[in-house]
Amino acid sequence: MGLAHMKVSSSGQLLVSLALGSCVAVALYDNQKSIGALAHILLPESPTAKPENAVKYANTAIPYMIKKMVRLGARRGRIVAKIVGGAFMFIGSENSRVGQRNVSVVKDVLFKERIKIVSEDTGGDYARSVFFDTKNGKIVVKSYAKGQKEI
Amino acid sequence: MAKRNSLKELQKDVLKEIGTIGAGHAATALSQFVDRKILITVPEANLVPLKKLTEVMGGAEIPVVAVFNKVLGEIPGGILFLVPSKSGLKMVDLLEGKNFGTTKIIGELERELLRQVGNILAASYLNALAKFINIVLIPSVPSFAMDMAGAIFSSSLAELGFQAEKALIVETEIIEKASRIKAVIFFIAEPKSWEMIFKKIGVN
Repeated sequence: MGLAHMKVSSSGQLLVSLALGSCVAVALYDNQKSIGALAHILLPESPTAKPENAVKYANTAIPYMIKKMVRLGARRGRIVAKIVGGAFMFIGSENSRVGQRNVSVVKDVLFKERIKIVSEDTGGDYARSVFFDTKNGKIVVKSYAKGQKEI
Repeated sequence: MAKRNSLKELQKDVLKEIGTIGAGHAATALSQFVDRKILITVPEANLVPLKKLTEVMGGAEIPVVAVFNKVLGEIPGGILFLVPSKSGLKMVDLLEGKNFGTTKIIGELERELLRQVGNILAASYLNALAKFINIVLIPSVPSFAMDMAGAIFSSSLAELGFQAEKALIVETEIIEKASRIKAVIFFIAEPKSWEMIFKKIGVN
């Protein structure tokens, strides 16, 4: 799955997002229906209300993901979230800390949408790849810095 | 159709020419830096869609060493210097005049060395471009990262925050005696900046 892309699955697919740096992967899941969605979000907030690509920004991506899941039969009240990424990649710059802002806006939007974050692996200074098993909602996070872990 | 192709070829030639000029300056600077004769060639320069960037490095998860400079001035953008981590080790060997395979890890000192070199190459290229089209471009403080290529690209784009479609790729070869190391310089700018660059050069 590419940068600023989103995938939703109700057929137990493995959704993969490789090499997240300051980007955040948001995984939403309805456990009873085994419906999952994964988005690779680049920036915190869209400069316009209706951006060309809703998935690029945290504030527009999450409502869009929920809509797609509900259309496939997910129940809004059952959807939970896992979030990964938002690292600080470049050492020695007058950095704008995009990763940190990505994570904080993702959390804000999820709170407003009343979606609970059940687990997360965010921050740090290293890249991560995300493997989201929509059969059971499990996520494996891989990185050079920390190896492999399940969240 | 043929006309469009020839225009693209012409633009490619100019980009390569600018790359070669920048490489010449970088080689002089680098030779002074290590006090030995170092050559830098530019086998290829091209504008590539952002989607293809990770392919150039061999995949999203390939570990790379990166130096990133934000670019300020008439063409806001970012310039990235990238080498695969394995080549990063070789580059340290080359710069320190050691046999390939001597350096095993990239620690604090090696990072600083690579940051310097990446910065010299990026700044030289930027300077060549600025002179060629007679504008002012100022690189900011270089920052360093060592991780997956895909994460470096996307995080650079996020740092810049603007809509980019393409990046200029300048493939370089750093040569000392019989040793060669490939490194890549990426220059990311807005679509309107590319139009402006080609217009100034007269190949639009």
